[in-house]
Amino acid sequence: MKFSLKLPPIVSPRRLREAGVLGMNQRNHAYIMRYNRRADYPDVDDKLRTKELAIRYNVSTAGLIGSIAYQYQVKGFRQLVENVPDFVIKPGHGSGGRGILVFTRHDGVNFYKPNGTVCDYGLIYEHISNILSGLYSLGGQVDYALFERCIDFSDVYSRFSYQGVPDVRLIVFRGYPVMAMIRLATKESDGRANLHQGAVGVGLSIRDGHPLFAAQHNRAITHHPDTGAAFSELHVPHWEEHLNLAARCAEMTPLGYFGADIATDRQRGPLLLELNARPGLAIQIANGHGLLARLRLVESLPAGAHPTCAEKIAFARENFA
Amino acid sequence: MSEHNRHRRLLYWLVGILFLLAAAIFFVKLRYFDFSLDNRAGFFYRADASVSFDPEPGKEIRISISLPNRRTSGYSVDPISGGEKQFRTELQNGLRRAVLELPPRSGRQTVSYRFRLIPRAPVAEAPAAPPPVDSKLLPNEVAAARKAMLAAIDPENKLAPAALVTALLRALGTASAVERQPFTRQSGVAGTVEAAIAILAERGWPARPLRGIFLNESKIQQQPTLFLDVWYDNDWHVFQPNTGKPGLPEHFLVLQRKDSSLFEVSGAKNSSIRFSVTRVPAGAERLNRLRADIIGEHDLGGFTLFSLPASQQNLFKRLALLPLAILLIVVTRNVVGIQTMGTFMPVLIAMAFLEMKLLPGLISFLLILTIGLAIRAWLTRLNLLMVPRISAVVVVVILLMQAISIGANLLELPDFMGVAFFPLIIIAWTIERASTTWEEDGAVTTLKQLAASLATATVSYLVLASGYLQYLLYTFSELNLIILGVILLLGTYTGYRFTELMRFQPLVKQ
Repeated sequence: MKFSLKLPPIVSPRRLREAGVLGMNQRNHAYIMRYNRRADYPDVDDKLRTKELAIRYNVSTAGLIGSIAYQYQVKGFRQLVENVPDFVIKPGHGSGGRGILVFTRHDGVNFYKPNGTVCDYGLIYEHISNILSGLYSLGGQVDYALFERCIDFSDVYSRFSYQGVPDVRLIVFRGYPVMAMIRLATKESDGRANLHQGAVGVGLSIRDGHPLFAAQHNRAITHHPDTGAAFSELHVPHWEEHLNLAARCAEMTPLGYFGADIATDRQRGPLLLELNARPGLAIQIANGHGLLARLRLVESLPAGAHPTCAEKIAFARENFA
Repeated sequence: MSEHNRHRRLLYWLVGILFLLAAAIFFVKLRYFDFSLDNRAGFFYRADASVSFDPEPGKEIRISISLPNRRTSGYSVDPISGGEKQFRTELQNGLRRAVLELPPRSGRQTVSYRFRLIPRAPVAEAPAAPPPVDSKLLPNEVAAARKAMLAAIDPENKLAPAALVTALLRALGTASAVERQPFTRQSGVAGTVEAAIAILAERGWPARPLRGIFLNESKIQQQPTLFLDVWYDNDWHVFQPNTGKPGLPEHFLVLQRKDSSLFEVSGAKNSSIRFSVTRVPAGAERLNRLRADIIGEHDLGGFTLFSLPASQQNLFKRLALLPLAILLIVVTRNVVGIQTMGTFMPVLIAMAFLEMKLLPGLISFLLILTIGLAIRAWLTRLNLLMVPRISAVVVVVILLMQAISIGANLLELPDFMGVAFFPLIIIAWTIERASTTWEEDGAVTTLKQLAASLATATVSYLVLASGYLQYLLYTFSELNLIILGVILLLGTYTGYRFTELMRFQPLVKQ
């Protein structure tokens, strides 16, 4: 991250409002607090619970290997993964991609990260211990570690991502997918798809998933900083399935406003990675477009305007190009 | 939507009630308790009225002394209790008097009424018009003498009232005893005042004597001083009988007005009164406490923090500014949009800075943080569980604080010895958080967040260190209700944060 003392340009609040930009306070007050009941948060904050819900509602997710909830089990994590070639360790109550460790191959002694660095038993042992003691969990409460299969992400994105699994983030409001972007890892983001760590966000049209705009660190860019690929050539396969997955998530949980993270596996197609009850606002920058007008349009619809997922998707595709 | 509006309406009502309540208590304290908005040190007077008399044998003795008007004099009277002879305060014809009754006794006696005079803002009151001049003051046999006196001073009858009174007093002062004889048999100032009252009656102007004491008098003993009070132009006007100068001098306390006596002693003769006044410097808080005590007689003083024991008061004085600092945090996060490491960490650090001044505080904090981070990085290699690891950091931080304190003592840097006031657990958590942020998001993000936290702590410190704000929020603790209201209102602030004006700038089409 470059450190500059020059203040970035400031715009007036009125012009932001005219551009329909959703701010953090308004997101929290008018959307998250109003549409997401506290009691429903475990649906998305507890990843194991999300997985169970997904299985029950036929939403495809990455393969579950197992979980470790107690310190005495940590020693045996190698037995858990001995039969799988690759695995991901996630904190059960993590957020913002914190505490996620990905290993693309291992031999039971050496564990290889996607960028080729090797981790030994001790390091992973400490990481799992940290997860259990709540270092990555939302309120610092005790947590469990979730083991999942790696997603074998399709080659279609390989030109656009520096290591890491690119994922599509869709904002789902009252069951309607209202905005989408794909997050692409960079060298700077250390192969992770977190925008605040320097990953690139590319805004996608809800209608057909074609790229609209791209931004890194809140600034517009046109080519991937590491691979040099032009984002305008990016194509998201199975777009229809992305929308279906996102809309079905809204049936899994009563939450009214959430973000659905979807990655595409080479064999299995789009898979739900996780849900987020407090999705970030950077998606607006990646789209070069504010969220407010779309949210207001959905808010103006009567309760049963589009009873089925298909109707909601059709409405979204028509209105949120 | 309607439910949302109902919540909002409820909130506005609540905040409105909080504001009104705070304003009402504030007003009562200011207006009726006379609490001062000014925290500069002030003063009060300790005064002593000594009445001496020769008791008449076998008669009950009753002493009464006129007290200054509570509203218009600019001073509250606070009797100092103690001693066997206790005066009580009585209301007679709307005037307050200190009264003492004694059983018969013999030999010359002296009793003292001791009291404090606490300065307060005087209240201007429209004076009541006096009754018309009493015909007893206009005996016919001296009518000619009165008219002659007036004609001598003001032959063409065109002097302004003030000039006329001044001229009259000067004429009476230089007049011989024979010339004054028709109007008074007394000599000196008392005679001048008596004569002036009689002559002014001819003009139809009511007049009366006025007595009081000088508060800036350094004399040990002071006799009351006499002035002339004349009614014209719908107001009373005071004149100095010796010089005829209009107006009351500064630092003069009026004790007797109207027709009541300055003091009375029944059952005795040859009575006299003397005053002694000492000026006592006092801090604003002491004065407020005295004021609260005066009100305390009226069963209200118990409601202020001043009625608590001193150790509790000191504790609350420390906490007095915390709500304001917390409001600052709310503004920093929700209106400005600065991310700090731990929500209230900057305030707690700032409270520690208070104990050791800003620069030593910042240096020790950075020292502890740097060494703590280095040790934490080394602990990572030991693969410890989180709770033992943070506990280890806590112990290390305690040892660091002790080391800094010992070092400061050796180097004779007393400011650094306050390092023990740092919130231990908060610092340990800050180290832990900084260390994980460093691992995950890199050094730049970590340093940015730490810098933001320290900047917020410094601003909080500047607020907390303000002596005046502390005085204000401690004396008028109801102002915290207003802070509470503002915090509640900020809880529904849905506008953009300041940092978002930069962050979302690319979204505004040029």
